[in-house]
Amino acid sequence: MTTIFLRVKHRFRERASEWFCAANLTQFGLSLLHPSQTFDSYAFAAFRNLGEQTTGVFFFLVGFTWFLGLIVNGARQSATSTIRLVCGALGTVSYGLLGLGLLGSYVLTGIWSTGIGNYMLVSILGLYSLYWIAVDKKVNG
Amino acid sequence: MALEQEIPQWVYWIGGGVGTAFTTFAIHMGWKSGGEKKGGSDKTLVLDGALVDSSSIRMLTAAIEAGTLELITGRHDAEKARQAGYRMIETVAKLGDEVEELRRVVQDMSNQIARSR
Repeated sequence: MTTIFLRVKHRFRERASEWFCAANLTQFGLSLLHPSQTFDSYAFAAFRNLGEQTTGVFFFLVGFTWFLGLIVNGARQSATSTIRLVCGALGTVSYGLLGLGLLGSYVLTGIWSTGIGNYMLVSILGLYSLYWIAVDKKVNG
Repeated sequence: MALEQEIPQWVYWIGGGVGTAFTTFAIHMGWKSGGEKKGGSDKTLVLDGALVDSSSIRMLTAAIEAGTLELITGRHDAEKARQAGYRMIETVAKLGDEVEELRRVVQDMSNQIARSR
């Protein structure tokens, strides 16, 4: 356990953006899974036909799996970089779609959300993470 | 507010397509700039194993010793060069003094010539 922690700590600096994206996706999923009706908000008007529960489960699973990939890959370099790569790709596209959906909500309701720029920027951060995951996978397997 | 309306599905499909294209591009660029894999292939490892025997270790030891000697010689050479540089600076300084002395003598001679007239 201590070894895993030390290895994760050793690589944390170069993977900080990944940890952030994984944590953000997980918290987003958990927020949607909360009993309160988040999609009733005007900001999420464009998401209502997706179903809050389904979207929440999807985001939570992607974020949590990415977390697991980071923990295991932090300890075993060559083991789970593919998981990180897949979760990173899914997360990045999801963030972009979130930004797009919030933009759609603006079109429907006329209310601008801070999430539009925010999730678009996180999507760019996801792209940056993906670039370095690919470098890591090529160099270390 | 037209909340009954919905964003058409094709908007999301196009968004997803563009996102996937960007994602693929980022992965491709990262993979391309990743360089060579660490550790090399199994073939190299076998070759390395075949090269390491007692004679190659002796050769390696001799090479390291020669390298160390060269380093020491190099250090001595550097010290000699430093001393030569220092002596050159001293010589130039002395030369400066002598030129100054010469200038004074010429000045004295000029004064004497001027007085004798």
